[in-house]
Amino acid sequence: MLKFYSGLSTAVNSKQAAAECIELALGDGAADCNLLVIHSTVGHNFAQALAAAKAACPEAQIVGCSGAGVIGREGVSENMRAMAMMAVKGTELSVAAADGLKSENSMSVAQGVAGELKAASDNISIIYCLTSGLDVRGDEVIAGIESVFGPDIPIIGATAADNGKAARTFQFHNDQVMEDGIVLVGFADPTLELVLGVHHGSVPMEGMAMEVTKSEANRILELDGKPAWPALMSKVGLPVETPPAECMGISGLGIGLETPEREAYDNPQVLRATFEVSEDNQTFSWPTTCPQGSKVVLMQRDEDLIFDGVDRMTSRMNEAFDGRKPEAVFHADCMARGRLTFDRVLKDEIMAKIQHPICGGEKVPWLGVYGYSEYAPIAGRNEFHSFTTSVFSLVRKADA
Amino acid sequence: MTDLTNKRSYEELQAICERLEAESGRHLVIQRDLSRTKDRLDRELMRFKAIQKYISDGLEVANVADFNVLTLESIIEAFEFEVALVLRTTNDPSSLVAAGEFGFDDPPGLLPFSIDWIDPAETRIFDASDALLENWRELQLAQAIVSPLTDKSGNFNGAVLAGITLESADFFEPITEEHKSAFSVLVQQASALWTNRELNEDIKSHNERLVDLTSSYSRFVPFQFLELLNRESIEEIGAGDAAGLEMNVLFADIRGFTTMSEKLGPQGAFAMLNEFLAVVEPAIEQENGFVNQYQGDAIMALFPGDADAALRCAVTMLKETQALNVRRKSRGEDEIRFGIGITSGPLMLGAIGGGQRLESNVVGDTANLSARTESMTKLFGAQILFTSHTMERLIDPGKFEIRELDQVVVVGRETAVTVYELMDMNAPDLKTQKQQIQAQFEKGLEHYRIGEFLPACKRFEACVALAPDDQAAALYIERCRGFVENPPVGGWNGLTVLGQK
Repeated sequence: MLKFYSGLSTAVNSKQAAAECIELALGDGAADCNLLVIHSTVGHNFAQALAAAKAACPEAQIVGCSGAGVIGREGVSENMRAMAMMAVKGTELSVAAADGLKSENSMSVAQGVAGELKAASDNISIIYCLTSGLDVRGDEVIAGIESVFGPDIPIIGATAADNGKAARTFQFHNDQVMEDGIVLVGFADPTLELVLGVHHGSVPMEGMAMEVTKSEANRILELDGKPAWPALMSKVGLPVETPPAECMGISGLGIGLETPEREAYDNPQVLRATFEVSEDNQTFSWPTTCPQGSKVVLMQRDEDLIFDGVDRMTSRMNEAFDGRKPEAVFHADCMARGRLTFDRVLKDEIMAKIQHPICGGEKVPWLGVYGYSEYAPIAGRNEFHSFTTSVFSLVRKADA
Repeated sequence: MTDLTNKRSYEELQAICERLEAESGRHLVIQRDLSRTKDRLDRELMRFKAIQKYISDGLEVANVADFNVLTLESIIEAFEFEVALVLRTTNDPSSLVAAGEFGFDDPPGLLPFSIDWIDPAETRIFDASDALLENWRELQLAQAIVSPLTDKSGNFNGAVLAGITLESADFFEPITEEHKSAFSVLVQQASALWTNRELNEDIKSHNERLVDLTSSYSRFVPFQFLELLNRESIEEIGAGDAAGLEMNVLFADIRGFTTMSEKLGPQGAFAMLNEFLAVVEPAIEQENGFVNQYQGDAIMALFPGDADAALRCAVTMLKETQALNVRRKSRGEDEIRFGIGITSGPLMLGAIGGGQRLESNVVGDTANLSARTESMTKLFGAQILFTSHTMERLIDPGKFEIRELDQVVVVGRETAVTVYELMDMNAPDLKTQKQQIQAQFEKGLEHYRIGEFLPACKRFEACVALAPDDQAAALYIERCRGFVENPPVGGWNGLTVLGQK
């Protein structure tokens, strides 16, 4: 039976931060920890942090990724040096990882890693997935994993982020720091079930609908028959030279969902973010495949919808809890919902609106990251998103 | 006509659409810029809090290494730079030494330096092409902000550097002019905290030296001596400073010291003396007395309060010396034996000397009488004797085992004093015997003082029969027999005249 513990530190010294997280999570019980999931902002020296974590938990496998911020039960930090960890005790889990994940090989690399994961454990019921955040195709990662596990195993997680520069993202596996990595954790505890909520809170802008008239895989070449990036920038009202990192929070595009997903998602569209623009500023790519003919619309955040959506999401999750409290919560939040959108006060408020109804004032282990995109199923179908809050609660089954 | 109107109308509509689109876009950009501004404010606030915390924590830091760590970590926390260094000047003006570092995989030791590379008076931002970072290429810095440090006199004595490495310049925010003011504030605080700290250290070190010095002085001139002269410190003492005081004076003298010294040699004799003093001095201090003088194998201690303290001290001195003698015996060394004489009365306490060299001293009959009283211990075979002057000042004489021994006139004095024996530290058997013969002894004294030497002698003989080790009774038998054979000439007043010091 898996047991979960969490801690967060804003110490600027990387070794100290790792030690503090472990101390907060495990106290003096670090020796028999089996898994450490680490999220850290990009100012930290990852090699030092991983070494310190290994020294404190010699038996533990270490996985994780960088983010624009970290979230713990203690709150949120988007400092350049912030770290949070989830420590797991128990053997009903397995880990697999690979480097070299790119947008063009996302499916095959994910398939390979998923194969390793399945070989390590046959009873995996939930897959926690962390991948690089920029040059990746999330839908292909999902397809690769599903090709091994089938479509019914929920894939949850995040893509790594940096501090909003869209320059480099980092993934961790034991002492290895990767920039094009994929890390999978398979949870195989039969007593656990997943209760999740996912919501974005953006609305389509009137008159801002476009059609992808020309694309190649995840690269959008033309919108409405015009070069894609200039077309998008003209809608956003920024010069074509604007780097994607400068307009990430306001250039999200929505793609309409099918009816069952739309109802479960509480939003009619799923969002896509742009992290890369061609050198000639004519085309751009998404971290997911974009078929020619897709209808897209420029989305705008709606603070009321964000707050109301969070309320509806936690309310639905509480119904599913049926009086139980989660054993642990993994949380993937889009970095655009961090300081790019909310000031400190609002961020704390929205986090309290998420955590309080789920935890009910109890110290539930909580690990979250502000990544670039999220892996979160909708209506039982694995899906890849951006701009969402995705909350993954692991709850002990009623008959366990 | 219709066609033309329609065409204009279409163009107008297109323009309106473009304007509306641009308006919508502007709204998005304003939204983005508003969020950025809020974020900047949050970060300014965070920076302010970090600096405040630094100032508060900086006062608590124990040593320079920890102070450097705190300074650098505070800089990193406040400004979110990647690396930082505290640099200090060395004896060689062409180099700076890294006294502390944060974030470097390979921390530098010495760095080449020319004052021309920086502004020694102001915070400056450097990029990789500036002379400073060109010369410090080993640091691999894309950008750095450098603020000078100064010493107490305002002289340049180092710098604090923070920077972004070439490797991480793609995601660390660049250092801008906006950072300069707050960075300067933090570094100035570091400088001020450190200068204050150094001043505190100086004061602390001076104080410690003063305490040491005062403690050393106090070994030569006791604090109580200063207090009794109503002086704050030894500097205020001048030759001739003196005070007339009522005091209890204890005089202790080691018996057979000369013989022991010959046997031990100079070093051994000093070692023995110091060992003895080490156990008796605390007993004196415990009773609020102080050693006024060391006179070779003797010490004179003064007790400003009640006389009971001097008697209690005498008992403790003997008790502690007994314990010392057990240790000496186990080492095969001779036991230390000594007598104590106590008296009380007026004396002059003061500084004696010619200006260049001063010594604390007491002058007066009382001081001399204590030495004379001690010398009688050998005569009576007693450990502790005290005079009637002390007896009169005892608050609680019932707490002590006391017997009257004699009335004496010491050399140089005209009036007689009664001498008492303090028997508390006698061997238990001897003390019991002395208690048993107390009445006989007192009767013997009565006869003796009125010149009835035969009945006196019988009383004392009865005493010795019961207490064969009572040397006082034996002395009186000898005196009585002498006076029976050679009666005193010129009348008898019962007094013993002590003719020798």
